[in-house]
Amino acid sequence: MWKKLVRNPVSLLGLILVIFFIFVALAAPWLAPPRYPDEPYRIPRYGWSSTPRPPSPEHPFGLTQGQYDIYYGIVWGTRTAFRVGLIVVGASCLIGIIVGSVSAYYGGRLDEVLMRIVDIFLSFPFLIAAVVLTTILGKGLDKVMIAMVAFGWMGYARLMRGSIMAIKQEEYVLAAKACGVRDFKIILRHILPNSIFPVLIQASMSLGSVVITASSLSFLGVGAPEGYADWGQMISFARNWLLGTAGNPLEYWYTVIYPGLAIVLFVLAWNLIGDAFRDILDPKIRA
Amino acid sequence: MPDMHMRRNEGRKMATGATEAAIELRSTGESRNRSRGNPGTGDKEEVLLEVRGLKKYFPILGGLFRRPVGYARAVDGVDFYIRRGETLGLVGESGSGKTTAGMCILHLIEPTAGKIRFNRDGEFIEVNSRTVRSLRRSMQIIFQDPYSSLDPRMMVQDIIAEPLEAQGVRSRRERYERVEELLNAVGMSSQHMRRFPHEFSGGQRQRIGIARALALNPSLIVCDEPVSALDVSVQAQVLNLLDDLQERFGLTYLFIAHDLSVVQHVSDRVAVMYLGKIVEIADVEELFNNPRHPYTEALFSAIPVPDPDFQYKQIILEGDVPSPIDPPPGCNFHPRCRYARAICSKEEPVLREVGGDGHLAACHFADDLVLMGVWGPGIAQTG
Repeated sequence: MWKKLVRNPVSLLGLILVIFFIFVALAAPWLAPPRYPDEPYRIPRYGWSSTPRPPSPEHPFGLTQGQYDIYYGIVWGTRTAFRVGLIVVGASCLIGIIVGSVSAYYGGRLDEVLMRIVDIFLSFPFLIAAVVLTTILGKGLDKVMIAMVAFGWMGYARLMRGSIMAIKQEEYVLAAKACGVRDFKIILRHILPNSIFPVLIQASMSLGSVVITASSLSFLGVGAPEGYADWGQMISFARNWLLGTAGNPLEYWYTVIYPGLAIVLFVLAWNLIGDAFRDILDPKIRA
Repeated sequence: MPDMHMRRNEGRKMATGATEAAIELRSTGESRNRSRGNPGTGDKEEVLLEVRGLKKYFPILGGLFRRPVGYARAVDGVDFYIRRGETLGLVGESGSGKTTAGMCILHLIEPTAGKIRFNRDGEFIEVNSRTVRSLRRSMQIIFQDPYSSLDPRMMVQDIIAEPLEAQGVRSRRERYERVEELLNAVGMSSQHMRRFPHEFSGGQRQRIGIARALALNPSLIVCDEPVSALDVSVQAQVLNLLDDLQERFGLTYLFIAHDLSVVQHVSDRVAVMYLGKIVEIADVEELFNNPRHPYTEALFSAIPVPDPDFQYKQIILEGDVPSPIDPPPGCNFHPRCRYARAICSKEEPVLREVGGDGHLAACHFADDLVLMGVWGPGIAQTG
């Protein structure tokens, strides 16, 4: 599997990017020593002026609106991104897999009820529902995550259910039954391995997009509290400085480019890895 | 008349590539006589499997609360038996319930009603959800679709070893040794063991499926259309393989198929199903020469004859197969039967003995009608 990942240049790029982000997240205390050791996610400020300041030797990525250090925000924001991505995707995936499996396995009326619940949840526009729920629950990154899980598990449930229903019909499941393999073992050996991969691939691909959504929520102001190391918020700071001044539209480029680049690369990395997983996990594409 | 029948007979010999090749290997027409005259697999009269009043109704769910609003009678009261060492062909159109019947015998589908008894070492054991696990060793199945019947994520060695593992062969080495043996038995080799199903052709996959079915040394194998998904040229190979294995291991087959030429080639006896019921059952030659049920006659007339000069006297059945949800009253076949009389729509004919030698037919007029067989009357005796 590693060989496959490394051999394909595209998936290699994804892998390198993910490893790079993992490194940054782990090494954050050394890359950007926190000024407040008890609150490492609080971005240090270097003044109170709202006008951003360009990169300098002390602040390699410059200072954004409110004199927050962009470099520090991005380094510690990597941890935030991983935390949000993994928790949201992990939790929605788990809920989805359980709901989907129960639905497909028991079928009948339970299936009907669960799928109607899925329909109800799906009928809300995701971003609006998340904004509303976050507003009700209150500001904070954990609330954002709860809201995103609450409206993010349905896709996985659908995928899992459909996939199990399809696999259940396969003759190799019948063949295993005809051999006297026990039900539990059939589920474990034939049904789950053949049905769970679409869900896992979907999960690895959405790790990136979840971070984008969390960033959009932060951008809209319902996410992390002000000054919290979060890429979305960094872009939100840049909102007023996108156009620069008359005659020099790119004057404040650093306020948007650095956090934007971080988000783009993070999402790209997970998408590439997701694609690579799909190819590797499909036995038909095995060389 | 005899001339025409002769023509027809010759035509059939050349029918599909599959039967042609197969028949050549089997030294023509009398293949089945040979194997019947020469038991080699114990007492031919010993019954291995007995099915009585087998029914399977599938509920049709409707409405908001998914309550059954009707039942599809896929199998509606089927009786037959299979003797040890023989091949019973089960033919019928799609939707006639052949596959469902096969699945019910193995309890892969829970039958609605009926008794299935299996003869294990002289003792008849009723197949039900309690006994079926221990009977899995004795009864196996080969599936129609070789693409769906092998788990794409498992290596061939694990696919074939799965029944061994399930039935308690603990040692991995022992299992793989047996896998090697089985692969050789089905004409493959041990170098295929560590490959995945998608690396094989349809015929090879079917061989793997056969090896898996053989793993536990069963006495009965339900062959659910084992060749209908295969290329014609490959069909003959797989049929011959099944034939060889039957001889070698003393197997008994329930051979489900819709291809009449295949059924005629492999079967000792043939049962014809229509809409969930057996309408006729007889020895293969008797049935093909001398059908007693109008549906069987119509089926046979549909066998194509590759002779441009041949004058078809095809019996075209009118209308569709009635729905198994709401089968017609009386004889199931009466709306499409050209011999139907008043009684046919009122009284259901029973499957009864006609003309001796275990020839059963379910038709009120089985004794009176003169029906045309494939080889025609008088031909079979001479050739």
